[in-house]
Amino acid sequence: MEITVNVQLPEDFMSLCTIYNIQPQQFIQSFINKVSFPSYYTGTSKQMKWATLFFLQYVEMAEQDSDTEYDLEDHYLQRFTDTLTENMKNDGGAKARAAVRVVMMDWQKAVLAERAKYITDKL
Amino acid sequence: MKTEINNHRLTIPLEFRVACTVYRLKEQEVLQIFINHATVYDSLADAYSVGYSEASKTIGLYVAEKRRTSNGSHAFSHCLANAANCFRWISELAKKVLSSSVAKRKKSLLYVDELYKNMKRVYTSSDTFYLDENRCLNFTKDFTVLCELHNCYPAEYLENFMNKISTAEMQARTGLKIPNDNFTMAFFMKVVLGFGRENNEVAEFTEKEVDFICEMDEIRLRIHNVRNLDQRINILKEFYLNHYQDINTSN
Repeated sequence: MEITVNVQLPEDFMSLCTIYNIQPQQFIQSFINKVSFPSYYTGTSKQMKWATLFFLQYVEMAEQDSDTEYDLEDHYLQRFTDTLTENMKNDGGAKARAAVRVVMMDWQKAVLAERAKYITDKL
Repeated sequence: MKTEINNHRLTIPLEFRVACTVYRLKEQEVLQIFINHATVYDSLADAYSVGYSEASKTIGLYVAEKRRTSNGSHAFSHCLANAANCFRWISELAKKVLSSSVAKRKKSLLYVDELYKNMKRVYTSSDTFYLDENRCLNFTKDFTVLCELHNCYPAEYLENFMNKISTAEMQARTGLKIPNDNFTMAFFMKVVLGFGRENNEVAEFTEKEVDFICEMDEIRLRIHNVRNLDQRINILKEFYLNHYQDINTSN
């Protein structure tokens, strides 16, 4: 999926990009490529973890006032964890990764259904 | 009643040792700060005073569970009227609106002195308590009066305090939507940040400790997918314990 994002490029970030000759788009793209529960929780690579850790920290900070569906979160994270332990084999996590991706998809669907409820309930 | 329990010896729980190691605190210093801030005045006062309230209410909660004073305090049984007056005066002092907590606490010492002089010690044989050959704690008058008043041994108060300290439990709750209402732990964290300590300079950390601090942040975030509180506590306990053993073997 491709979308257009408008962001303010802060001065410090811009100067770093200029100094190291980095395209902001490319940098942001490579960052978001690495934000992934399936990869983070199945991976052993140390380089991969930072982006997801940043995401987790962001969630931790934002949790108090966000509209996250907590019941769904608990339920699907539990399923995520169970699926993870069931499928972790000596294949570098490939099987587990695929399996928990399915859980993530289900979770996403459930969240969307929950948020759409206010429309469908009134029908 | 169990008689084999030695009330003059302290069992320091592992979790407390771990917490002190993680934050580089001396066990003895933390206990002494706790003792220094547990006062008769703050047990009776409603107003909040940093540190004093937490320490005094930790004892308050413990004695409320034990309820040993159905027949009164043993130490004050011979001077009931006088003791009752002293406690009433302190209680009235606490209710006064006009002066500051510091001033009122200072004034309460007058009555605590009186109580301390008159009581017949049953549970506190001495004002000094040896943790081992090299480390000792000094009991304040307030602290000994609190022991005698509630028919409790000092070691009980101290062990109850230490049992409430667990970095693993605190961290495990942080990521869930469970409120952290352990005010004894809050007291400990104040000490971590320098409360009551003589020297609150942050000591230089070794490379190992720096690594550990980075990992500590990371593991808290990593266990985001574990939603069961007990499971989270266990993971964190193991993590801290490993560090504790690591530090102790390298020293």
